[in-house]
Amino acid sequence: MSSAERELSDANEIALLRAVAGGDEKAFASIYDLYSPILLGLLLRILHSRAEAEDCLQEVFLQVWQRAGSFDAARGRPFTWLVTLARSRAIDRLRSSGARERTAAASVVNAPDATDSASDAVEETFRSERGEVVRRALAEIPEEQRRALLLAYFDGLTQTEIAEQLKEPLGTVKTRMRSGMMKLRDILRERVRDVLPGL
Amino acid sequence: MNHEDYKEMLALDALGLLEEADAGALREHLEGCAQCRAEADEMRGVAAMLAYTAPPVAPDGELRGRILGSIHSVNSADGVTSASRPGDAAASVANASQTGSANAAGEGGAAASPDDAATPLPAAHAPAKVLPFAGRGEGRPGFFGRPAYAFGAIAASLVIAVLAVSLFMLWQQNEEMRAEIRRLSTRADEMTARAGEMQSELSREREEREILAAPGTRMTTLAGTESAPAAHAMLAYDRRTGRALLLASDLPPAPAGKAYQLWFIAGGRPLPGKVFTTDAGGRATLRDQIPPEGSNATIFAVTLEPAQGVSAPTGDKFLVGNAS
Repeated sequence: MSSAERELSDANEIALLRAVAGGDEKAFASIYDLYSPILLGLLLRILHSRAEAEDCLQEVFLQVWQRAGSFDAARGRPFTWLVTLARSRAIDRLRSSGARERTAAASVVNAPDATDSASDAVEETFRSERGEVVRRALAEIPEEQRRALLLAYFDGLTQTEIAEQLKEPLGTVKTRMRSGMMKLRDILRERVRDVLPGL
Repeated sequence: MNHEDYKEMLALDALGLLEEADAGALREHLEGCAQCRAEADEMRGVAAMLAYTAPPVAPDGELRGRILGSIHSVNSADGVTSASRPGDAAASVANASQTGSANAAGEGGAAASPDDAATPLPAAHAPAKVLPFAGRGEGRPGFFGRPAYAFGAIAASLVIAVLAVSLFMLWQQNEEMRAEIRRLSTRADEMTARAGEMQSELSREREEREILAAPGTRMTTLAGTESAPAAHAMLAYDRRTGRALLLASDLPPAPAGKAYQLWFIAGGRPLPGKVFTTDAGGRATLRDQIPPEGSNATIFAVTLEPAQGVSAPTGDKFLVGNAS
């Protein structure tokens, strides 16, 4: 996808969200079809339960329906808004269900390497060029930084809990995460022109 | 905390790792700092990209149906119910009752939009259905010994009949609502007109009160002449502003084509005022302006003139009075 095509698809999604805010069901269905695979994948990765993830997906899209009016295209891409919303709902659910301890242990043991290639045909279908870029970028940052970032993002642990998991001092862990994010940002800035709109 | 501290918090904030107190302080800072806001937005974009490391998972069709259906009758951001078009109140009522009747029919299908029902359906008219009964072939015997598939056909006809009735009732309801809207609209117009009239009446009365209450106002009475012995009037006038108010009573009605006219007589010269007519009770209220040359008028008079008024009196005097 060229950068012009990316801009076009973002513009399309922005228009869809605006229509959703106005009560347009068809636009809502389009957003659902565009985003449900990646959001369900994210929720599954966080919640480790298909049933929970599906329930959560319903919650997420209900919020999309109700809050589409609050999306501000000047502050970020539709992708960021939708993913952030989904992750928040999942982390909330994780925290309230008390399943965190379980999943935290599971994730450290079974954390899939970010660069694992997917074997599932479905995943192949939805594999996006941008996803490739991110996976490759993540592979390029130091392993400790990557582990810290993934623990933070997918497991909803606090800074202290992450430090415990990684068996490192809190200060070290904070620095690692900061550095990891900044490195990731720099790589993405180079390779994805519109991580931040207007760049 | 200084600016550098806030900048350091941005990456952790994007990962959702900040404690409440820090998160709140950062939010406040972001409200006032555009540079940090831009960086925060970018960091959040970067964090969101991490979602790409989770393999996408296609949801099944049942989930799609459930989720797309769950937003019905929930307000979207703009407060618009999903199935209605903006401003189409009748449609949202139709849809709300459609959900009820659709449940009865067991199907969430047909959208009973008023626009679709171009012609009204006669009540309870089920479209003719040829039921595949005896003589058609063997179906498995169902209840009561009839072929089982006949019941499917009967059930289908019933469903159609129910839908037809519902459609008709909805159409009827819609017509009634439109009529009601028209009625209310007319009423609203009438009330607006009435309100306008009352407003004018009120400002007129206020003007009169002002004239009567003004400090420089003088009052004088005018007496009826032989033409109208019972007639009398009060004239309030303010020489400074020239505003004058005539309140006349018991004047005979002016004949067709004629009207009463007020005169200000100064130095023997009559200066024309406005023309007026009386109401059914013989009363008249006239607001007038004394012309500058008439500001030291000594006599006021009312004569009967042609309806459009004249520049010099021609008709009989009906009321006369001296300036006070």
